[in-house]
Amino acid sequence: MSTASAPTVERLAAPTARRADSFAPPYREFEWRLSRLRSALDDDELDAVLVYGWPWRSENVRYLTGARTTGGASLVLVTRDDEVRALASDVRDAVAIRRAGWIHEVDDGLRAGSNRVQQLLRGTGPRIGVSQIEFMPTALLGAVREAAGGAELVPASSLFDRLRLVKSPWEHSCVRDAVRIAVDGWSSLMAELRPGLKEYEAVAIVERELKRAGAEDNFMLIAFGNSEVRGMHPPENRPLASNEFVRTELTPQFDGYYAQICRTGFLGDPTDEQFQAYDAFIAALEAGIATVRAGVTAGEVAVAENNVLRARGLGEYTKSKYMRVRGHGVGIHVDEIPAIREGEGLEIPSGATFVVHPNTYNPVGYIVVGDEVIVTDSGSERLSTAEFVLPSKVV
Amino acid sequence: MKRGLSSLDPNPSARAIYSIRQEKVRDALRRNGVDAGILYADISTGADIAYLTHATLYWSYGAVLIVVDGPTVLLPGLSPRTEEWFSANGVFDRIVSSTDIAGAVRDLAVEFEVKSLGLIDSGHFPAALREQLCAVPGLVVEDEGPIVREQRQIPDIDSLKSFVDAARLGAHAIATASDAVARGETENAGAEAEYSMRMGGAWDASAIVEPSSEGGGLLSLRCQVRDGWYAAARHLGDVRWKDRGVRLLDVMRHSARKGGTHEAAERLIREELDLIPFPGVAVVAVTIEFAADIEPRYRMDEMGSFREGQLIHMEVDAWSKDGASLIAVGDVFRVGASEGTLISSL
Repeated sequence: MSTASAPTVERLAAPTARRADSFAPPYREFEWRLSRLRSALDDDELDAVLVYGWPWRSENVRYLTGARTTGGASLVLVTRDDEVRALASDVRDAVAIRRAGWIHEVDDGLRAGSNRVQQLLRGTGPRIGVSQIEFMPTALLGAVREAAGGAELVPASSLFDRLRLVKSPWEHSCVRDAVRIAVDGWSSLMAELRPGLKEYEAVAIVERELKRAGAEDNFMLIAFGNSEVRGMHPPENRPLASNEFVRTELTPQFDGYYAQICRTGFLGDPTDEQFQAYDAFIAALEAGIATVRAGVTAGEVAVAENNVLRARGLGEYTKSKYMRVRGHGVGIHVDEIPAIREGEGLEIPSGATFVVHPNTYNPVGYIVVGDEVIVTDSGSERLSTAEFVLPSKVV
Repeated sequence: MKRGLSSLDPNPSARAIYSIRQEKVRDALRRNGVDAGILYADISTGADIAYLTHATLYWSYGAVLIVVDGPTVLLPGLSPRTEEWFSANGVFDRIVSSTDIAGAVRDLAVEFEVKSLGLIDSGHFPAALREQLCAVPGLVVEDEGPIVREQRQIPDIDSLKSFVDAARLGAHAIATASDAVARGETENAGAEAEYSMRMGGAWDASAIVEPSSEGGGLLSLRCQVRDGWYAAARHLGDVRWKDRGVRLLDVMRHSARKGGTHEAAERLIREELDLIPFPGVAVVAVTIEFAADIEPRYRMDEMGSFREGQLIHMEVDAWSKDGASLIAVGDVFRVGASEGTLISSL
């Protein structure tokens, strides 16, 4: 294995802020993020931070490069003063990073046995933060430790969680676009509902709509059926029957940013009990959103949602046996802070984005309703609105 | 994202496939002298777990613990509410859902008297989890090689079916995307290709079409069905590349022969590129990997010489100085005695 050759991507023209990839975020985003990250390095007394990303968890690499990486492992190094540099295991990822136009020094030689990690970490100080170190493969962490010499490696995933919690106006615009296409995706599903439609076919229909609208990716769970449905899952071969619920969590990614809506619909004529159950969840959603403003804790939002369910006799279903969280942050990763659950003390700042969703099993089956908000000083900007009455399609 | 049809065939014979594979892993672990083995994966690297159990890690991470004289245990890093779905769609003896995999292994080690634990594909194992397992009292942790991926290198007949099914969906998706480009709908070609794969039952599917400066587009496609992956790249709607692409694919197919090597195949591909120069190319990347490795991961292993029956993904990508895509040609081939076979034609 050659370790001495120059990075392949050096043969590309040097990027400039003005000649960045048309898909990349504006350069001012990079400057804003870098400035905040370097302040965080000061706060945490770190000399540098090493960001590790791979296809499942590439959010921090994307945050600092503006590039969509899909091929394998990537590392990005940010020191207090030097230029940001990146090292990828796949040439295609290295090209994507160069094309995004934010980072000049990009290498594609990240493979076991090469000395490129050593080159990447040159000149770093004695305390290096490492994001996603908890997931770093043994072989890669071994190479990082060797390259870092005696430097202390400090977990830094939470540093990035905090950094990404407050989003810029440009990020908000991406989230708004993602919500818009999510709503269109839900409409396309409701329009196509018919007896016999299978869950995986429903996902295919929605995702075609999302992708045609420009989505890069989508995270989606679905469940057809009634009281037997105790949770959301990947699509099955199960056909939809008349007088059944249709529920989905729809999470398209647009320009790098995910947004989530949760929707429940019905094929046929719902019973009064089904209508009332849906109404309770809408009321819980509304109560949660009404609570949101800068400075409230994530726990307070969850309590507002759960109190509505308790008042409607559904208090049993506010326990972890039946639900996960009452909402969560959504951004460059699908599931971010804040986690909206009772007892969570994180104060939500202005600029954060998250989905409020009181999704829970209950006697008529699992119900999901959720809308995404941008937190403001006085309240929130609601990016979508779930139907107030259980949407149904008569067959 | 894993959001395709991953339901387990209810036919009992489908379950038997996975039990046999688990027994092979037990045999390997027994030979290596450990009481159990553990295989870790996440949403982007789950093919080995799919091969062993048919379970798909549709979100988060997870592991499979195989006790040599005991059960196969699926350990998804999710809430217990997911156990019913995993149990309906996977083949294993027990399921323990927990984000604390080391804690679950500690309890299982006590229950099944596991004193030594092999970390399967240990270089890819998260270092933090490895440290947690090393700290379990009374448990000796050993490094194991990629036992499961090695089993998949020359696929058994059922695994080969997974790869071929994925390739057939992929081939249909290429045709679908090509039709969209021919209709002048290049911007929708990726959506149509993904739709065709998902409607066909793909577990995971991705199709990106980058418009080319000469008209048409460059398609890059991935498709997963069970433990089988397919990857392909094509020029769509660019007549100048039709013959060149065919020639490149032919060189790849000839390179996929028993005893061939990564280096020899790359040399032939680059020689062919020299014969059919494309103006403006600044960067060329030649990807040659075993199809069992198509899932993106930190690369550690050198490729040995090609063995008959192995599946190999070969792809050429090239970009201009400005980073625009100029070439994207690739497919998966089955290694033959004297030359390979395009997998979608099997």
